[in-house]
Amino acid sequence: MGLEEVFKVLSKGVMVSMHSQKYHDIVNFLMIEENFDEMSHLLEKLGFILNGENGYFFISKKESMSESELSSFLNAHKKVLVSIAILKQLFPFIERGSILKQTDFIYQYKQKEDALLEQKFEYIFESRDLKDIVERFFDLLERFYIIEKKDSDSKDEYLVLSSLGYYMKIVQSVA
Amino acid sequence: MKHIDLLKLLDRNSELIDRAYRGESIQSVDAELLDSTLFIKINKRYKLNKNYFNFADSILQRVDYSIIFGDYEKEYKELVKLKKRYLQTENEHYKKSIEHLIENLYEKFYNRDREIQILIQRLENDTSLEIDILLENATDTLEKIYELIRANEQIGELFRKDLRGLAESIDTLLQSISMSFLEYIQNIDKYIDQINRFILQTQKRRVQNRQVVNLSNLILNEECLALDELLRVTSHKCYFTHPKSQKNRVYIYPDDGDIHRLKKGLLEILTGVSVKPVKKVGLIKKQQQEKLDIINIDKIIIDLDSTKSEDVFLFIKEHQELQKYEGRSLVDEAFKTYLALTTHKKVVFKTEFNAYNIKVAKWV
Repeated sequence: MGLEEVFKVLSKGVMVSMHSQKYHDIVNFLMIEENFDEMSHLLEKLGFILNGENGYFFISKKESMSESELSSFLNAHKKVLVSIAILKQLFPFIERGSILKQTDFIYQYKQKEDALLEQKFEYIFESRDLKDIVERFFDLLERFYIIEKKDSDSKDEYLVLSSLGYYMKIVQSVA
Repeated sequence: MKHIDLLKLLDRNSELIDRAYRGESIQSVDAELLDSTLFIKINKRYKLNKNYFNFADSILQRVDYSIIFGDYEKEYKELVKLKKRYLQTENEHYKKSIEHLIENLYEKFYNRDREIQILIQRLENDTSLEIDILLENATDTLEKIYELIRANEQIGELFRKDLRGLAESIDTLLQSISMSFLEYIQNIDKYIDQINRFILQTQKRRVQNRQVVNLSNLILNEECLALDELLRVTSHKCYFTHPKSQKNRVYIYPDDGDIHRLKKGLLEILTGVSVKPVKKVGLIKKQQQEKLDIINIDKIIIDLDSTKSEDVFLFIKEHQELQKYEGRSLVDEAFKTYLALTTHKKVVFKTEFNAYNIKVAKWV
């Protein structure tokens, strides 16, 4: 593992969480202070900032983002932000390190019997089939590096990553 | 002055009249031109008579935006009056006047049609005016044409029905102009359509112009960043503008400083999700007072006790409690009451049936 590989992953938009099993090589590399500083220095020269304070690593821009960059970010993260809002509504105490089960999720969802929640799901996935919705919901969170499969062969249990905090911060900014 | 003299006068002063027609200020004119009222003195200047302008403009097919079409109300009233008088007196004079007025009206229609055509042509080709004024002119013209529709229909009705059968010569005249007259009326729809299209196109042009002005301002003020941003965001709309390459692009996240700027957009997304609950539309009926038709069986029983009827059904049918029923419903209601009483201990059934095919029951 070297600077080049770490840059390749981070520049693709991967938000690397501290206890992610998938990216533990990168975490191990960046946890060494010299490596982190070197990477930071390198990115700074290119006009970027390496963030790593809250248990997750990601790249941001040195200057403030332009309006078009912000709007394209929002556009790309529209569904995941609504999903985070739903997740927090169903599991108010969820945090990094928690285990999230699809079965629990279905149970909580049915318990709520919230028509507005149904509408939100329909907005994101354009579907009313619960099984389909739940699968796609977990898939979406996984794609945005917010959860990870606990075991590669298990489809039910997921590990909640630190990056959840990042999205929570955004969602809560409007609250 | 004879007409020929007028033509000669025009010929003699053609240059001066032409200068005045083209808007030149005239300081002095001959007395005969003033006498003929071709020129009028206004504020130490000599101006060409408006009537002459009208005549020349009409012949030369020049129409001003401020043209007033007006309706044919006066002619209409006059025609109705003349018709009435002609019917009363059958005087040839009135017939001639009617014919004359019809011809006048036809000419008016002919001129109006041509004027509108010219006006639309002028609107479409006018590059001298500002777009806003042009749009206003177009809307005004449209309004004027709309007003014509009603007036046209009124005259059309008069020509097709009311004036027919008055005299053979009038019928022949009306027949001869009917086709082109109808065409002028139908043209109005075509013109309205044309102007509407023109207005829409001009409005689009106005929006485009503003966009171009915006862009040119950005270029002139050297607002490179804003310009760059604008072109990048709207690259799909702009000619010769390519979207930013995704190759070698470093994916960035908003940091804490940028996150608070997401607020507005995020609010839009979150409120977009919360669909408003559909308001149920239910018909609320006014509560109606129901009138209950109750038959007092107890009263019937008391009466049965006193009369000891041989046929309970017939007795019920004749009873005053059932007076409000008639025909079939009387039989039905009587039967219902009869059934209600069959379990009464004083009822004894006989073997025979009555005229209504109901078993005869005796009250003992």
